[in-house]
Amino acid sequence: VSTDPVDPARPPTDDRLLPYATPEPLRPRPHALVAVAVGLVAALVAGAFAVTSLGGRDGSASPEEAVERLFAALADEDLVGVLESLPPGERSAILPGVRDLAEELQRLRLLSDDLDLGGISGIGFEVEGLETESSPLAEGIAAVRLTAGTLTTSTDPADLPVGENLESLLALGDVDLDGTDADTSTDDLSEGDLRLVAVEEGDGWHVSLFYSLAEMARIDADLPPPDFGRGVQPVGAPSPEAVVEKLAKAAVTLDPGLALALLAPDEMRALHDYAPLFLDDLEADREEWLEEADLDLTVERLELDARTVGDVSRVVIRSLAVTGTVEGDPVSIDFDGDCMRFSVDGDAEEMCLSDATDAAPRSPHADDLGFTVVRHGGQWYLSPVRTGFDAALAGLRLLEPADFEGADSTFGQFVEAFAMGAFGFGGRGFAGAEGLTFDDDLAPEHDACFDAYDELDPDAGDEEWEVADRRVARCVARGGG
Amino acid sequence: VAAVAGALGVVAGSFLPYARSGRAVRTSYEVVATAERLEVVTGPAATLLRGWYLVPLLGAGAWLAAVTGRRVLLVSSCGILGVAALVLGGLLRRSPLTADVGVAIASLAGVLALLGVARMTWELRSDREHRPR
Repeated sequence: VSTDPVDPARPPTDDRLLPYATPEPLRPRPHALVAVAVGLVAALVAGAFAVTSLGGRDGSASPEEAVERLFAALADEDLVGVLESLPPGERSAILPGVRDLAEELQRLRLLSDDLDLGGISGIGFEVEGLETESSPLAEGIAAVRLTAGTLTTSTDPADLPVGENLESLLALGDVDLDGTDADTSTDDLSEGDLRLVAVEEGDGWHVSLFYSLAEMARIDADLPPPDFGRGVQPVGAPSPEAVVEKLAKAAVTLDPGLALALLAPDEMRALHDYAPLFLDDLEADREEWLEEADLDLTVERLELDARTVGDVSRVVIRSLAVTGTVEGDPVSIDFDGDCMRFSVDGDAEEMCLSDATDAAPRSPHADDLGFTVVRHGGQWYLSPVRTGFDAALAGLRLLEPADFEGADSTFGQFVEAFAMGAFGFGGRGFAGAEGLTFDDDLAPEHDACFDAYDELDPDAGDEEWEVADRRVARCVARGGG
Repeated sequence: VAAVAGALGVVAGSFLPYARSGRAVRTSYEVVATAERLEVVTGPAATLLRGWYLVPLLGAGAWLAAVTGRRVLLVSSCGILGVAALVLGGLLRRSPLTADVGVAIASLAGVLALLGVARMTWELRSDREHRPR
């Protein structure tokens, strides 16, 4: 309320008529107005930011920029950035496998728990003065040549994310990571005519791993560039099971064209484009081989089981029967989900998963033998990368950390044998033993047999090694002891 | 005041370095874009994750609600911001990326915002109970 005294100089107003108490008109306070204005401007900016971010692009504006971004991510040791620079089809096939594989290797203590996929310790890159030059290969595909720049790679073995089991296995092979000096090397990126291939996919340009490999192989084979976009046309199948049915047909008829057409078009686009460079030769070889071998096989029965989650499905073979002739002899293959029976001209052999499982509980299971298929544009296709990763993971899941612990473990013995020169890598012992190969069934009681090698003098000559080989072989032959 | 300060803290934290991959640093918005590109999150969760781009707008909304005295709008926007900051921070800590200072700031601010929201909710309920009928 106003309580100002009445001013005699002012003309009479309502105030003067009612001088005792008048309501002051509502006036917004200046600082409140400023606060509201600030809020409104912030809301506008924030709204524009949200719209821009929601429509954010995936990829670079040009092929050169895509390559520069890849090298920037490498220089930052930013594995996530490296994966982001790949085309969506390739990274979605690779990423889950890399992540799961890393987890399995950590479980087996081959990789350290400290492993950070965001930045792998012990290895670093520096890129300086990178200059690129691109040339179009086709619409949306360009080769980017590195014309200048250096890549400095630093490695510090002691800092690598190596797990305790891998460290002990390496020690068995006389490799001491902690005792190995850090190393730095610098390469001139303009040497070697390194060409990476960038593809326009999604909202921008990405560096394609598979196109780059295909282009390198093409140049190496001195072949002309393919007619991009006119290679194998992917056909896929209407269901996950139908993919494997067609794949089985392609396998028994040795039809590479059909097999290639079943591969995921986003993941294997490069292979589809480059296939015409070798497909004719393959087809010619196939005709020749079919004629020579007089091969005529038919899939009589194929029972499949698909487990589908979203656009990815795992298809496992429950039962299979293939019959026909090879070089005129009747041939049959029958798999009932457990036992596989082969028969060639009346000679039959049988192998059962259950036998292996009874002998060792961690043996392969029928569920591990399958294919990973993906949906793309309403059709289903085989994903070779995912199938490969899944097979590798299934193999790793059968193993336990104890399989890698110490010299007596399964892999410890393998590494020791390797270090001793088995498998023909120039050393002596084990493989040199008469009649003894690494395929022989070695039971724990055979362990003592190998003491013959331990008793050898480090400077022992060939003759002494041969004597030891013979002792080991005889010991193994009589069942150890 | 706590709720508004918390909401603004979440917005500020979202623009600070949020996650580290090697030597590369990403803000929360770059992390969300990367998660989308790498299809780390799919389906409805991916749609929810895209809602993170609205954090600055919610922050501005919280500010406007505070200066104009719209308490229900203030409680809603601060509550969403607080929960979103804690959820994203939690997800990030479980990812292979290394959380950076932005996560800590946004998470603390999120807790502050939620405390403020709890206090305002209690006051709102109290006001309604004591309002003459």
